[in-house]
Amino acid sequence: MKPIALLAAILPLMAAAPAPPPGSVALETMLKLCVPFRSQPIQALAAADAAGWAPASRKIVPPVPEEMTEGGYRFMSTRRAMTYLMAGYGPAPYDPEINLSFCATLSGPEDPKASLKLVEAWVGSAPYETDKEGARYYAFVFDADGQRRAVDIKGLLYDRAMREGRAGVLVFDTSADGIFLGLWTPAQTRAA
Amino acid sequence: MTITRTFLVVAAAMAGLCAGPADSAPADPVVAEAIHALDAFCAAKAARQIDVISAAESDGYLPAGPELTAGMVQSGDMNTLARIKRIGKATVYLIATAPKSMGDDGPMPGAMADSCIVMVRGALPGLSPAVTEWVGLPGTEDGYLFVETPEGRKGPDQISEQAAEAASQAGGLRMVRVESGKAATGVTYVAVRPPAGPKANAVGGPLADFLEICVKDDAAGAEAAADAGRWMFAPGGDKDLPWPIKSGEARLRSTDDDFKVLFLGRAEAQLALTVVHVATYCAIGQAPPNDTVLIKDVEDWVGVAPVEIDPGGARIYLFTARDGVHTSLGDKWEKSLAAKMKAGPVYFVMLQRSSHSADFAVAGIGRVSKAVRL
Repeated sequence: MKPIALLAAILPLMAAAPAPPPGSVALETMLKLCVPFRSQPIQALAAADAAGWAPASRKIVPPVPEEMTEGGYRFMSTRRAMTYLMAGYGPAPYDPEINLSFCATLSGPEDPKASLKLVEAWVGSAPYETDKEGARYYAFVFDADGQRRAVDIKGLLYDRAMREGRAGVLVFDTSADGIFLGLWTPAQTRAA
Repeated sequence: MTITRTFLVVAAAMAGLCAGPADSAPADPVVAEAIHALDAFCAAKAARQIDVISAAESDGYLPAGPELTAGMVQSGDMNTLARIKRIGKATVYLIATAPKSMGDDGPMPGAMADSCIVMVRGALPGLSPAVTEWVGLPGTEDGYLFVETPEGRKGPDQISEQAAEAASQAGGLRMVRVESGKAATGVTYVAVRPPAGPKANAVGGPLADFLEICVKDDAAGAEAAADAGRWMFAPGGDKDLPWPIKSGEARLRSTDDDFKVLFLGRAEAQLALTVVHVATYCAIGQAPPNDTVLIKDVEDWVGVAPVEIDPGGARIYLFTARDGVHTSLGDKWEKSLAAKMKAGPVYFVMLQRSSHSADFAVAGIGRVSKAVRL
């Protein structure tokens, strides 16, 4: 998966951003809008709408993942950070044949090292893979109390968690002009 | 017409799904569920896509398989969301589309339509009378046309033309139609969003924003207009501001089909041997693809020749404005500027195409507050 070079691409005037503030808006957004509505991306969009996020043009925000079958984009900017929210259904980052729900944020300015530390503290594990461009992939399952537990993405535990809707793959990438954080979870059971 | 086209697209997509026999003799619960969906999702949420789907999911509706949406995507209906619910052996489909232009031949030219469709496969003879009962108004061959008012649903014969127009402008115009094809029977609910009027111009197109925020009252109300128009603050928005802004702040506005930046602040530009100061400078930055629209429209609005073209490509205008007529200070503007400023306001306008200001076109205006000869 190749995240997008976006923030500076659409807003060159913001490229010389101020010193990144502490914390991670990308992670905060994910915890507020993605995690509570995992597997329900439309609910995540509705929650964003209720929280005052603005729509975002598909002409400006490239689809993430590229083959998103349905979903939408939202935008929020404050003096602290500018953030895109992308939520919908699309291929898994590790297998284009598998359709998952996803919810992703792209935010900046943000200190990549500080964000990574916070993200890994939340995931509770190291990445199972880091690609050539530096994107880090984490596989985990949500326990009953919402805690994350690292699992082998090729193992039985992950398969079982997928069927039960408790599996998650998180992607952390700084190759874009911001922090990209994407959460892929099993799609709701499709009844058709 | 939006309703029919969307319905046909969905019905065609559904035909592929329904290779088996249609639901025979649908039971009343299916009609009841269809009416429930029409009422609780389509009507209660004014057909707004995300709200409709969110409410349906909360009511147990599940994502439809990709087969249904695949047909729609191929037909260009990219922004369509579908959910389904099993009722016995039948399946109720709920389809919501993002707002689309209704074109100029509809009941409200230039308006946008939010469509919500409830349908089942095969025939459902009980649906049409149930919809008639639900609407509670007489219909025509084309369906039902009415407005939602604080007093309830009103048909064309039950309300004055003036009241109907007011309700329509408030977003209350609705169209409902029951349609049946070989593959499916369904009801389409359309909520009409009125076209942008003068009030909406505060958050409208490039020129509308420029006039409403930057030109009106010499931008005295720009900040309040920005707040009202939901222009968001930006990180670092008070730093690295584009020429000729010396201090100020940038704000951002994102919509379904556009992205803009608003700059408010103090500007200072050296033109020839004169430094022109603008105490209240206001500019709109317009992202593609509407960037050229902004420049062209503002150029037309200014209507005079630039007094200078900066090496960077910026076009500078200095003019007076009287009764809406702009008069350029002309080539000898340095000699006449002081006198013109004593006689009345002199305006400074800067237009910069996107190729000269990264990916944004920028149009800025402000009243010259001071001019200093070097």
